[in-house]
Amino acid sequence: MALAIVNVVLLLIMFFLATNALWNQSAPTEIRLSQTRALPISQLPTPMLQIDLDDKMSLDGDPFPEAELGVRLAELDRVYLLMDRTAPGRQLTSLLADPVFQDIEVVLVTIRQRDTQSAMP
Amino acid sequence: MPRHRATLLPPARRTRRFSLIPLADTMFQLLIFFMLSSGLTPYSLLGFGQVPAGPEAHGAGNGSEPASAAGSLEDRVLWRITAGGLSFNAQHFEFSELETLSAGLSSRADPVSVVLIPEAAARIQDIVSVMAALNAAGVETVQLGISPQEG
Repeated sequence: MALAIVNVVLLLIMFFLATNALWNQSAPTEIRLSQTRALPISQLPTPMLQIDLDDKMSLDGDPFPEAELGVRLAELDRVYLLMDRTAPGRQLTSLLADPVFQDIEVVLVTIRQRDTQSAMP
Repeated sequence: MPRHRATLLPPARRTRRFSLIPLADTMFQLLIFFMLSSGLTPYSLLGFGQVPAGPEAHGAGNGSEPASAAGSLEDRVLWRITAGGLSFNAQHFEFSELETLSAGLSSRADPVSVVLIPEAAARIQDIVSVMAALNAAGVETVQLGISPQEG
């Protein structure tokens, strides 16, 4: 009986080890993403363009000045945007209006929350 | 005498058995640690596509532009997003009514396109909440615009 328990627990440990390493490798920690309830769940994709509240930018964890945005995104067809949910909405609209994103598909990353929680900031 | 008799008995056979209980205890502690430290965060993605450049590319909110590929002006609804709510037709609605409003749009006979104009007080969470509700209601065309005053 104890041997079976040990086997099951070992499998669970392997599962949590693997998922932690695969899914959270580049997860943002200092940014509070927007919360949604209706969108389907997906894994954290790349390339990730993170924009902090103070307009600091980083691509896949590599910080760069705002002036290099066009250079950094030059060869990308799609970029996944990480922005704080408390950031002004016009920060997003002005960013999307930037000519840099004319030929790049922008996908905003949000966090799927449970139905019992509210979607307010 | 009992004491003398006891010494005459053969020594008791000691059986050494490998106990799995300490191993199970350790593994449970490891399991709890990894469960708490691993973040199975369920992410969701909200895509934005670019509207083809034209006279209304940045002015979808003023209502004076010609009809776009998204639909005629009659089929277009303008929602202004504020902090925690939205307004259209000079009426203010809380986000608690968002599902009802979105369902009302999707139930129209003709497909309707929604133009969202974030006000200065609106946060990204507000925009995301509105877009996700419209997405869930099946509204096919949602445009995100900038107010003409902002340019």
